[in-house]
Parts: sequence; structure tokens; C-alpha cells
Amino acid sequence: MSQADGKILRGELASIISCAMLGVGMLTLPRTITEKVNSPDGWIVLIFNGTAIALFICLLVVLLKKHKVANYYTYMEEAYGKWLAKLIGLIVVVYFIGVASFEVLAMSEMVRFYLLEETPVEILILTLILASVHLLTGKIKAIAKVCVFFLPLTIVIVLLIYMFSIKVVEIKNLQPVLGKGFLPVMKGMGSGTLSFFGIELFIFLFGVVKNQSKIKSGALIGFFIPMILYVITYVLVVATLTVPEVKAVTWPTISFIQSYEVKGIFIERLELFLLITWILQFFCTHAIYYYFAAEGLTKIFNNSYSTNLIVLVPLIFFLAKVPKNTIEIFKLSDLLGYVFPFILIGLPIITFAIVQVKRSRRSG
Amino acid sequence: MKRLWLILFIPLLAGCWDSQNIEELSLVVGMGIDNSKKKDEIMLTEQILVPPGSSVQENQAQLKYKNVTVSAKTLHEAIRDSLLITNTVLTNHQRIMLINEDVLKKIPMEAIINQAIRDNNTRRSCLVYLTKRPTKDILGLADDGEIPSNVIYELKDNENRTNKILQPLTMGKASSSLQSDGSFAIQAVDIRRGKLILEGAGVINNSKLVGVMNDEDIAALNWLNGNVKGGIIEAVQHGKPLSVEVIKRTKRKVTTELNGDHLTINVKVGYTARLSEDWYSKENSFEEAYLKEIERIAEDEVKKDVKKIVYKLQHEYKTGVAGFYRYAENQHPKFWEKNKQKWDEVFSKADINYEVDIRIIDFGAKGGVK
Repeated sequence: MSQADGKILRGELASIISCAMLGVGMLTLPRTITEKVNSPDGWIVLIFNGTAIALFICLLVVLLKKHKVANYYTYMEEAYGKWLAKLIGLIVVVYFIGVASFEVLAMSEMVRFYLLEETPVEILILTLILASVHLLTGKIKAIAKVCVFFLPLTIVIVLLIYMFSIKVVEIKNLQPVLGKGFLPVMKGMGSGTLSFFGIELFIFLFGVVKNQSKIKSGALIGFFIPMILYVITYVLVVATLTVPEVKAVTWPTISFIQSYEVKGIFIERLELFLLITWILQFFCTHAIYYYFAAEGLTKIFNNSYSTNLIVLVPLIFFLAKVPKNTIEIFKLSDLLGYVFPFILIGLPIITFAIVQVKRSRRSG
Repeated sequence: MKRLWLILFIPLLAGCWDSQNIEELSLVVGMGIDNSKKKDEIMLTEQILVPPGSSVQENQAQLKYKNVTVSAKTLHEAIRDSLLITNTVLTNHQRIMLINEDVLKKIPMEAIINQAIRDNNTRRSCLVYLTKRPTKDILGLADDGEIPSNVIYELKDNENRTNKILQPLTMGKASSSLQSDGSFAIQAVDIRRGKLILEGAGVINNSKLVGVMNDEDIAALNWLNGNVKGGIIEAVQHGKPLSVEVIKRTKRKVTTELNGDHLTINVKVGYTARLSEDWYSKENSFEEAYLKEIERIAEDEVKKDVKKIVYKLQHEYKTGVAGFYRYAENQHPKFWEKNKQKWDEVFSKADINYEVDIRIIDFGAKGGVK
């Protein structure tokens, strides 16, 4: 178990992907999906989406393994040539910066609303960014260790909180299953992409996994942990709040936890714990995306990694200051939601096709 | 890079902005909403905890709370106006919200609880009650020096002992029901002989108060819903009273049948019970036949009450407080989509068959033998 080579193990890969996925999506997911589906069948949508993406992950792993991709940026260079690859790489980096900003912004928004009303938002944002910078000086290995530590903590706390909610959950609010037929479910298939942010990162992690044969299982485990949590969350939240109410509340998951109290233990109100653990998750997600942005810049400009870290601080900070209100924040998330399928699906497939053609020509 | 960590110390100062001294906060435990004398305004009464030992006056019983009353056009403005009288208001620990009947006649309920639901501090688990008297009087009643809000809040825990209390209505539940146009019943609070008492209920439909119920109605509604968690069935046998104590629900099944546009709702509930009191001098509770007879009497008693409440729901309030719309929606989604707007009408014309099955499993520590 040598740890010095900067390579990550399968469990670490899984927890990085899980932590990257568990971000703001979890807190708004019941609303975003129910808005589209308009019936309590959102969990079916989730399971469908999850299965589809899981199958796609398997396909991608096969494709990338076939070409023995160690580093995605060099792989892109092989496909598009030097300058075009740099340009596309830059687009990807901008997307990473966008998500990093968005997560830190959503975090500050949540904290501003529920916890620290008077504290300037800038301080919250800056704190998180600087803490990330400090963590990121240790590169991927440090992040992996943090994720391995935080993920079980998060899961245990969230499940504990959910356990206490049993008395307010009314399963009859989840019926009728498929009451409006299959059409609304099909319509909702595209919704809730925000919750899947993070899965695209395993493409970029290819080169740093120690045991190449375990990538697939690692990515799938990392994908299914959040998926299961999402389905549980959706079911509980909608069963408690009912469909019309879920569509109306801003942070459904927090509202749901505010709907009940626990008697008998010294603390009655549990949303505090959710908020605290979720700040950790926001931090993880943010740090991971931040790392990939900085790493990407290093690959593109061939300069020093720490310079990029420092340069990104103001960038991320000011980007997080752009949206002026809650609605604009949700708009930003929609915007990122459009880029996401391109990064996860479009880019790898196109790249693979071009490289395949090029290599076969060379060998032929 | 080496000096970077110095900068990292700065954010550790965050959080100082939001520090507040607990003595300087007004912790609100209850709120009451009344009509104001001024037109278009509502009157808000906040019940605020007073920490013990803050007054220096000796030999004077110190109240544990104080009430602040203000009036304004909106609830939030009223809360902010109360700051002219008292310290910063904190609603994190608010336990109850009382709404006066007259307010609901004027303002839709959705509007009244709107601020509380939107607010980041008020929890959705805060309980909502209705009052006949001005809420100001109710919150002002120092019941043996206890805090009225807490007294009311703790009364709800008796639902396992009596069936004359409705299931507590939380703010979240109320909000959800109002969103889905469901009608519901809301527990009322009153004052009786200088004591706070849970008595009667209001029926809310489309955010408006459409009727009031008495305690018997509440018990019957609980029976209809299968929400009874305990309590007594009083009946008469051979002209002598007896009481059957409800122990536990064993089943509840609601099925809906459609015949064209005509809806039939079948409700089946089952309970275990105990013969807890019997004044009949010739009782013979060691005999199975005797207990069977008592079961029948108790069941008839319940059915009689339920019949009354069903009649009331269908003809007086014209709305299904019992939440049967959920079952109709779940079991006949297409029919529901079509008749969503007319649900009250559909319900009023529906046939409701109620079956209750009470099994007496014991008769306490003494039974008669004759």
C-alpha cells in the first residue's frame, strides 16, 4: 500500500465520485423532478435515469480502456490536434469552474438563509474557496482522503435523520403509481440532471487510479451510493410534503426535515445536522471540481499547478457573485445542466470515434 | 505558497457577525392571530419566554412569559412592529399558532400561515389551533403560572387516552393540504372554568372555515378515519352503562368503487378493546357469548356516531374532511383528474359504507360470574 505515488485506490475513486455527486442536487432534487413529472412518480424517473447512466458508464469504461487512455487531455490532443484540443479543454475547464462556483454559491445561499443571516456572503464563499485551496495543494490524494472520511459520516447522519422521519411519512401520498400513465415519466427523463453532476469526473480520473481493472466497479459504486440516497430522499420528501407542496417549496429536503421533531434525545431539531453535513458535502464537491479546473489549466498551459490554484480563487469568487437572487442561481444550474450531457456523453463518444478512425488509418 | 496559510486564518473570524446574546432575544413559543379593531389589519399576539431570575422583585410570583400584542396589515409587519416593544424575536422554538375563527372568515388560511411557511426559522412542525375566543385571552390565561402555549402543546399527547382530540395539525401538514385543496379539520382550544381545554374543531375547506364540530363529532370523525388511538366507547346494556376501552387498531382499509360517476367508499376498521367498566349486576364476562354481545353493542354505538358525522360531512359541511379524496385519487386516477374541481360535490353524493370490528380481548382484572 504505497501512498506516495499519488495514485488512488478503488474505494477512494468511489468516494470521490459520491462526494462530487452529493451536492446541492440533494436539497432541491424533489422539486426539480416533480415540476417536470407533475406526479409522485419521480422516483421511477430517478431509477430510469440512474440505470441509463450506469449502463453508459460501463460503455465508456470499455471504450476508454480500449484506447488505453491515461490522460484525457493528451487523448483529446490525439483526436483534435493541438490547438483545437486546447480550446475544447478550456471549455471543459470553464464548465468545471462554473460548477465549482455554483456549489459554493448554493452553499452560501443555504447558509445565508438558514444559519448566518448577518454574515456577509463573501466571507462564506471566500472561506470555502481558501479552505479548498489549502486542501488542493495536496492534489488528488488529499481529496481522496477527505472524501473517504466525510462520505460515511454523511451517509450515517443522513440516514439517521431520515429514520426519525418515519412518523410523518404517508406513503399514500406516493400513490397512484403511474396514475397519469407513462408519458409524464418519459417527459421527466431529462430532469434532475443537476443531481448527477459529478459522474463525468471519472473520465478525468482514469490516469490516477492505481488498479486499472477496478475502475468500472469503483465508478459504479460511487455512482450508486448517491443514487440510492436520492431515491430514498425523493420518496420520503414527496410522501411527507405531497406533490403540490413539493413544487412550491424552495428547499424541499430541508422543509421536510423541519416537519418533524424528535422527542427524547437531547436535541429535538435535526435540520441543523443536515445543514452541517451538507456544508461538508458542498465543500467536497466544490474542492473536487476546483481541482479538476486547476488540473485542466495545468495540462493546457503547461504551467505550474499552484499558480493555477491561486489564479482561480478570484475567478471562482467573482463568478459566484454574478447571480443576484435565488431565481438566477437556479437559472445558472439550468445552464450548467445543458453543458453536462455534452461533457459526459457527447465529448467522449466523439473523441473516441475520431481517435478510432485515426488509429485504424495509421495501422491500416 | 508558504505564507498562504496566514491568509487562511482570516475567515476564522466568520460567525461573529451573527452572534446574539440569548438574554437579548425574545424566544417566541406561541402566536395568536385575531382580527384587529382597525379595518384591514390583523392583531398578532406573541408569547415570549421570560428567563427566570431576570426580575429582582421579591415575594411576587413572576410569570414565566410575557405577551406582546401588535396589529398590522401583514403578519411579518406585525412581527417587526413588535420589535418596537420587545427584543429581537426568534421563532425557532415556536410551538403553537392560534388562529381566531373570525380571522378565517375574512382571510384565507393559506394567507395566514404563508409567512410562517416561508420563514427560515419557523418550523413546519409548529402546531396550528383554532379558537372561538380572541387568542389574546387564551394566551393570556396563566394556568397556575404555567406557560399557556406549553400547556396547549402538551395536551395533544393525550390522544392515546381519549378519542376526542384530533390528530395534531402541523403547519407543514396544513400547508400541504391547502396546496392540494384538501379539506381538513383543525382542533380548537377554549377556556373552561379558568382552564385551557381542547374542545371542538373547525372544518376548513378551500382555505375557509365552513363549519365547527363538537367533541362528539371529533370522536366520530376519528372513528371514521380509523385515527382513534385510544379512549372509551360508552354504551348501555340492559339499561346499565358500560365502557369499552380501545387498545389498538388492527386494520384499516379504505376502498373506493365507481359506478359511472357515482362513488362508493367502503371503510373497514378493526380494533382490539377491553371491557373496562360494567355496571350491570348480572354480568358474566367469563362467558364468550357475553363478550360477543358487548362487542356488538360497542360496534353499534360507534356505527351510530359515524353515521351522524357522515351525514354532517355530506350535508352540512359538504366536504370530505376525512381525506378520502386521496383514496379516490389513488384508486381511480382518471376519474379524479376529471372531477378534481367537483370533488366536494362528488363526495356529498357518495355512498359511505362503514364497518367496524371490535374484538374484546380482555376484561381487566375482574370479571363477573353469574
